[in-house]
Order: sequence, then C-alpha cells, then structure tokens
Amino acid sequence: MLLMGKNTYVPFYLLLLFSINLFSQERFTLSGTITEIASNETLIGVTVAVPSLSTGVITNEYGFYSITLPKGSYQLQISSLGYQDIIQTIDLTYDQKINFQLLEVAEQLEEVVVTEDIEKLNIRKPQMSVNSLSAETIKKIPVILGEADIIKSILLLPGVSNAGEGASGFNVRGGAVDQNLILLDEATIFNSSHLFGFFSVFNPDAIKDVKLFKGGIPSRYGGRVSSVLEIFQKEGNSKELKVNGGVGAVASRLLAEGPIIKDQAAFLIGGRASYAHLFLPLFDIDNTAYFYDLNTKLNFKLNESNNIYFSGYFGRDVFSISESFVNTYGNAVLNFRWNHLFSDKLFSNLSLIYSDYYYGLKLDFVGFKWNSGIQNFNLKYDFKHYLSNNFQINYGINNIYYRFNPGKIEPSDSESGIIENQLIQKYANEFAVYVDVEQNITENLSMQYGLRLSNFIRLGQDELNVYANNDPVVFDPFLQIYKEADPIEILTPERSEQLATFTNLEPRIALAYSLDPNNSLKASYTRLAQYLHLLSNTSSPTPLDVWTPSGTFIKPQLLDQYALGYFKNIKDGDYSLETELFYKDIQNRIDYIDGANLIANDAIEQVILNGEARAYGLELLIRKNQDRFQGWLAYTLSKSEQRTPGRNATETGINLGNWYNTPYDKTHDVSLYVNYDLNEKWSFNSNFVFQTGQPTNYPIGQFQFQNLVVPYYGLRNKQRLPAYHRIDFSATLTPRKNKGRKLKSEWVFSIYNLYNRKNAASIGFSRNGDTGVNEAVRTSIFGLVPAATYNIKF
Amino acid sequence: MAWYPPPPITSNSKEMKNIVILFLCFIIFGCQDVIEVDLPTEEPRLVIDALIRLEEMDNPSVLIQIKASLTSSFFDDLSPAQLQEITLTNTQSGSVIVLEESIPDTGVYENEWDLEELTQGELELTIQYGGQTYLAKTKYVPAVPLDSLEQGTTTLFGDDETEVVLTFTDNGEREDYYLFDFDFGEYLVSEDEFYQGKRFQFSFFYDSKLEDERLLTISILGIDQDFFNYMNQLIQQSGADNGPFSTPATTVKGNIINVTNTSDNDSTNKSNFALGYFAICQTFSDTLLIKK
Repeated sequence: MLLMGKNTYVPFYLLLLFSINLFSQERFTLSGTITEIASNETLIGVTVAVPSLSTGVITNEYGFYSITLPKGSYQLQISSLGYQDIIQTIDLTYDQKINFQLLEVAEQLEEVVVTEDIEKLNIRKPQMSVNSLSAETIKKIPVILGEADIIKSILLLPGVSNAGEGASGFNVRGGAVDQNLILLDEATIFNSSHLFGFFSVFNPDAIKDVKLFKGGIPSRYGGRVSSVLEIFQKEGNSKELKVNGGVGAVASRLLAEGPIIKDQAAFLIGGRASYAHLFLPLFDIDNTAYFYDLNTKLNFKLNESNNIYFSGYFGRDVFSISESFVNTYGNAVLNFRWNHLFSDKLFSNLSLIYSDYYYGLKLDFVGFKWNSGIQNFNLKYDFKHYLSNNFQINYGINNIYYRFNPGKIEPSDSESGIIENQLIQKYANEFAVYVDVEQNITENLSMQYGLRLSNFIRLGQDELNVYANNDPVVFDPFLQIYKEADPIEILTPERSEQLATFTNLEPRIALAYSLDPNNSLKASYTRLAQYLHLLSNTSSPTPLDVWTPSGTFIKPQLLDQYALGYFKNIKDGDYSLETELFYKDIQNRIDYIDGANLIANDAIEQVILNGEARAYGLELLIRKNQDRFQGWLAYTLSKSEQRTPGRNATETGINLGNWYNTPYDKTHDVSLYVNYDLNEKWSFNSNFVFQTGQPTNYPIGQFQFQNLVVPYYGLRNKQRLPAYHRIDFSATLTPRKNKGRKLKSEWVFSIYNLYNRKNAASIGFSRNGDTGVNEAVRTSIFGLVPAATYNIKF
Repeated sequence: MAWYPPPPITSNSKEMKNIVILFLCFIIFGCQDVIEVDLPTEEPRLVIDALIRLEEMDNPSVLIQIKASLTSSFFDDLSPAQLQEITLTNTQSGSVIVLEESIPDTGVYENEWDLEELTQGELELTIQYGGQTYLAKTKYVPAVPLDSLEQGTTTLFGDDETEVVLTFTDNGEREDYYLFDFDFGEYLVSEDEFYQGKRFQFSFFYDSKLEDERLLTISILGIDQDFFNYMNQLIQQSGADNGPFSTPATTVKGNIINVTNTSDNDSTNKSNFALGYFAICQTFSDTLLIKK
C-alpha cells in the first residue's frame, strides 16, 4: 500500500525543500521482507518511510515491500506498532534487496515510543471504512467467559453489530450475516462461530492480523456485499520452539510453534477445546455441548524469492441430548500457498484451497441421520506490482467451484421406518478477474480505483423443476396468500450444462484528499455482486441454515455503496476522529413467504420472493492512542430496511409491499472501550455497550383454534425489544517474576455484564401451561458472568 | 413444552434450539422471566373453528359442531361470537343445512347431517356476521388407523417427561398429511414423504410427568396440504418463543374468505378477513392409561 508523507520526525515544511524531477533521473528499487527478530514471523502493515521524499510503502500480507526511488542517499524509517523503529541510511545506486528484522518492544525495559500505529488511522491512504485490530487489542478486550474473541471485538467498532446474544454472525452497516466475506489465510469460512455464537472459530493465539472492510472494498475482494473480514494467522516461529496456552473457565487452548529447519522452515500447531460439559454429570445432566478446533501450519522459505505454506483448520461443535440426539457441525479448510517474486517489483501469491462446511444430525428416537454441507475448491492467483512509489497495480484471478448438499436423510438403524432421501445437490462455479490501482495523483490527492469482473455459472444438477410461467411461487387471490407451485416438469440436466449464467462488472473507486497532514476527506463508491445466499427464516442464523447458489429462480444480490468520510488526527495522533456517512442499496434481497419452511426443503424457490434492501447511516469513532489510558468511543446511527413488493398489482407482497425493518436494524449503537495500564503488573480494561432494541413482533391479538391459543401479528418488525446495554470489566495481572524468566504467565479476571442487566434476547408470547394465563416471556442469555483465565507462554 | 421429533415430521428445529438455550442456562446466570409489555391492539376479528372430525364411519348420521369466537388482545379473555347465519352446502348434491346455536351465547353452532353429505363432493361453509359474508371450501380427507399406542420408558431431557410411542402404517398409494392430537393442546403435523407406504413409529414426550391412572386420548387425522401448512404454522406460532431461533411472526390466515360484495374497492375485504379453518377429517382415536 502506498502512503504519503505522514511522519513524526521531519516537520512537514522541510519536505518542500526537496522537489522531485521524475523525468531525467534514474530510479532504483528497494525491496525485501520484514520479519520479527525472535521468530522470523513476517510482519504485515509495517511502514517503510522515506521522510525526505515524503513517501513510503507498507508491507503486504506476506511481509513484502517494494519501493522505487530516484538514485540517491536516503534515510529510511521502518516502524510498526509494538516494535522498535529502525532508522537506516541507504545509498540507492542499484536495485537492492534489504530485509529488516524488528524487535518487539514488549521485550524491552524502556518506555515505549510509538510512532506508527495500525490502529491509529492513516490520514492519507485512500482506504476508508477499514478498521484494523491487532492481536494484542483483541486479547485485552473483556469478553464473555474470559475467552478473547475476534468477532466479539469487532462488535465494538462503529458500523458493526449483531442480532443479539446467542446469535452467531455479525452485521456490518445494516447488512445481513451472509453478506460478510470471512477469509482465514485467504480461505473462505462459512460459519464463524462455535456453540451457537458463544465463541468464534478463530483461535486468538494463532492470529497475526485482522482487518475489517466495511465499505470502499478494493476490487481484489468480491462475492459478499457487506464486508470483508480478513484474518491472517501466524506462520510459525522458525528460530526456536515456543509454546503458549491458557486455561479458562469453559475452554482451554495450547499452541506450539517452532523450527523444522532453523530460519527456513517452521510449523505451528494450535488447538482449543471446551470442557464445561464434563461437569454436567455432576448435576445429573446427561447432555453434552462442546467444541474443539485445530490449526496446523507448515511454512518453507525455499529461497529469497519463494515461500510455500501449507495450512489446515479443522473445527467441530458437538451437541447431544442423552445419546439419542447428537448434532455435529463445523468448518474444515486445507490451504496451499506459494509466494513468488517475479522481480523486485512484482510479488505474487498462488493459493489452492479446499474448504468444507459440514452439518450432521442423528436422532435415534425417530430413527434417522441427517447431513448437509457445502464444499468448495478455490484457486486464487494474486499479483501486486509495485511500479513506482506513486503507482501500484494489483491484479489477479479467483475461481471457486462449489458443491452444495442441502441435506441427505438416512435411517439410523435397520428398524427405522425412514427411507433414504438425498435432497438435490447443487453445483456452481464462480470466477473473477480484477485489476486494482493505488495511485498518488498529487501530493494531496490519492486514489484507489479498480474493476472486478465476476461470472457465476449455475451448473446442471440431478433434477430440475420447471414451473408454469417460470413462477415457482403463486399468489392465491382468493385466500390472499402465497403458495408453493407444483412443478409441471422435472428435467435432468448434465452436470456440465449451464442452467444460469450471471456476469457482473464491479467498479470500485476510493479517493482521499488531505487538507493538511492531520485532516482529510475520503469518498468511495463500491459495486459488489453476491452469488450465494444464506437462507434462514429464523432471526439469526443456525447451523441448519442452507447456503444456496443463484440460479434460474434466485438472482444474485447487487450492491451499490456510497461513502463519505472526514478524518482527523488530533494532537499529532494522540487522538483521532473518524466519521463516515454511508448509503447502501441492494437489489435482489430474498425474503420468505409467510409460513415458509426451509428445513429439508428441496425446492427453496417455491417459498421465496425477490425484494430489495437499503441501509444508511453515520458512524463516528474517536480514539485515544497514547499513554497509559487508551481506548475508543464508537457511535453508529443507522437504518436498515427491506421491501418485498408483489410481483404485479394484484399481489400483496410481503408486509403489504411496504418497507420494514430488517431483524438487525439498530438505530443507535454506542461502544466505549477503555484500557488503563496502571503499572507493569496490572492493567484494566472495560467496555460499555448501548444499543437500541432489535426489531421484533408483538402480537396484536390472540385467538383459539381447537385447543391451541395462538397469538397473531400485524406488520413486520414494527415493535422493538427493550434497549440493550451492559458494562464488562477485566483486570490482567502480570506477575513481576515474569521478567527475565522464560516461562511467562498472566491471570485475567473478568466480569461480563457487571450490573447483571437482563437484556432481552427475545420476548415470546404464550400461554402458561400451569396457570392457563397468557404471558410475555423474556429470554435473556447472559446475566453477570465472572471468569478467570490463566495464560502461559514459554 | 413438549418434545417434537425433528424434520420428517415437521420443522421443529426451533424446539431443538430451545433445548440449547435452556441447557446453556444451566451454566450461566440469567434465563427466562415473565415481564409486562404494552401491546398494540386492533378491532376484534371473527374466528371460526370448523374442524369436523369424522370418527364413526358406520354411523350414517353425524353431529356437526362449529365454534365461532372473537379475537381479543393478548392479555384479555376470549369471547364467543354471535353469527347472523351459518350454513353448510354440498355443491355436488345441492344439499344445504343450517347450523343453530343450541345453547345461547356459547358460540357453538350445531346440527345433525348425513355422513354421506360430508364425505362425498365439495363442501362450502357460508357465514353471515357483522354485515359481512364469509366463505370456506373443503373436501373430506381420509386417514389411517393407529396400529399401536404405548407408553415408553425413556426420557429425553429430564426425568419429568412421559413418553408415548405411536405406530401407524401409511397408505402407499396416495400423498398423505396427518395431524396428531396429543390431548392437552399438543399437536403435531406430518407428511408421508419420508415413510410413504411404510409402517412408521415415533415417540412423543410430554414435558411433565403425567399422573398415574391418567387417561390420554390421542388421535390421528387425515388432512390436506393446505391444512398441513396452516396447522404447522399455528403450532409454531402458539409454541413458546425460542430466542433468536424463533420463526418470524405472522398472522396465519386460514381458508375462510370475506366474499362480501361492496361497491368500495377490495381493500376493505382484504383487511376484514376471518381467522380459523374449515376442514373435514377422518379421525382415528385411541386411549392410553398412563402408569407411573
């Protein structure tokens, strides 16, 4: 990434003394890889600045940088948060390869001098709507049960919320949970949580870098319309063996990394498992709920220009009620990557990825087994061409082949009356090619613009329904309801046949104009296409939800997002202010007819209707980045709604064709996070969260049919649950004896929901079986939860 | 809450997740409690319970009972409705019968009719109420008898449950949908897609231990696909809420339509709909004496 001019060492006016004549001077390239000295771990986002030219570059996801400058002598400043700066003078008279190794500042005894901060914003980069979080911050934020969690941490950022406690997934700028592209080392992850949302699938010890793009998404990303959550994990320490782990109230984790060939090859293996279920027999409960996940990595540095990486992730959730109901689900990913330097200006990465999401259910007392899932094979080839320090061009291709298994049911034993049935498997191929330019137009204006061409082919499947008038849903004007249409014919197309093809051009543009080194304006426009849809008719996703590809009856979601922002560094970066306005428009947002049953539905097209969605809002983020007392205040004011009108004048549509709130619309969302380092031994962290209650439906009446007393409802999502708010607190104790010791330990004490507010996750209306009286029942999930975690590393 | 078997019977994954929520509540503080809520209201609406169960097929005459009531605000009491007129017509034979309220102010309208009128041809139910005319149409749907009904000994989620085991054999020659009435306002719907023509057995769990010597009456009813969808939604809407896994709230409209001819546009009719359902179902019942 290119950046302009922000530095703390050379006052801005001095830079004007140097003028750059581009036409007659020879230029040479300085490139290399930046790693951490104790582990050889590549460092992402390290700034390599040339203050005298007010220019610089930052290292990419694999620690590589390349900068082309006129022949001359320069002072280089290499800096990154949490590491000691390197100042080095070089004579650039030929193309040079210089690798740098940075020393982690936590290892030192002197006071920290922070010069560049990934969490502090960069005024001049055209990149807007991005938040980066370091692994350190993620580990400090107090979360439920003391387990550090990426997803729970990003919820504290503006524009990010979720559908409530116990809901998995997250919502970005009023977008749905299936609209987030979650990448773990370049591989797509379909379900980001364990145990119905209580933990995320990412092991915080293995994380190196986390970036969330909420808007202004560069053209190298595509396939999901609301956000990109990009997570890179550590590769493994190729200098010495390191172990770290932690024991917590509910789960424990252990990670080991070390060299295979010193300085050349390394491994990393980390696992987590929960064990709360082991205590249940003490309470005479014959049920279990647990999760485990395993991260394995191997990396080989073949030579200066080639690195290869193998990684694997495997995670499972198991939930069972006695032995007769067992539910298993999770992600598995296998990934091979090859970094190759074609020249000192052209960096490439080839990834070959296999990913599998599995969901299985076994019910003995009914006699069946159920499994469903999605598999994909992904090839990505990305190039980063560092043409000059004012012009970088990225290009590449991405191809994903999908196989969707909506479900297979089989008898669980010979006495079962169940007949084996395979719901029709679906196949598709998604291809994209992109070009993306990062350019500094003038000293104050920089732009990132690009184009992505995406193509989606829905391939043949075993059986395909054909409907009269191509309408799988019919409207019964007599009963005034939508009903499933019966197919008039069933075709059996070949796998290679193309049932539907979609091609979309996705232009992206972002620009940043710096009014002065501490103030800038940014604007962006993004168009994105999404070909996969997560069908769920519950208000938050469950593992039973089905991912469905676009096709004859389901069109791709198309988004246009406009964003405008103002960014300010106050007191030279001690404080920063970011504010953004956004507007999103999404075509082809699916909604379900009343009473739609999606579970085990072989013909989803019969219960869905096409609509549109929109979201708009204002985000505000104020950060304090210096001293013992740090933190941020995030505020989002937004609206997220959708509309599904009837297909013609005689139909009612859903909710009478009017706009209605999406289930995750939250008008106000306030998050305050503070961190206070009292001394070397103690540090304290606290969160305060306040959100408008989620939209819900309260009954407008009740009636009796047979012996059922049934509530009934008016327009969709018109009411709201009570406001959600809580305070969390945690204290980290680092014993003094850690200093100089190989084995380091720390205690983390945390309290979630300090004042034990019963935040309503939902309010249900039903008749009390014992008293026969109708009641409104509030379900709240977490009251006050204390926890203690013990972490070690050596 | 009762324990429903999952997918092949009906989509009660929400029940499974209710278990998850309740289960996880054991290890944390905070759960379910009753609260006060202000609810929106609307004018009372007509509700017609016209589910006619035909059980004794050897008896040529049937007592038909249809209940008319009004909706009320969720926390208020329900009350019966006084209809101006209610008639049943067999469009094939042309026979018509008028139902009368035998005990005043109960909202129960009844009369005796020939079994044959109810099982042959299409039936129409016409109601006059509040100056509006409502119409529903249906046909008789057959069922299959229960092969066996026994008490089981296993429990699912705790010691409080009582298990009953049902067996029946589906008719392989037609597409069947079934409604099970488990007494105490517990119902289940099922379609024969996964056990077409086969002998099928499943368990149902009452979530409280039933007393010794309690007599249960359990029935199987034959229903059509529209009524299957209706009861499926009704069961979900009337069940306890399941946190984030609830199905979206809807107003479950039945098959009773407002057909009043007015000179105004249709929107008055569209919004002035009646709730409830008209169906004629063959029913087989069995009783079971619960032993502790």
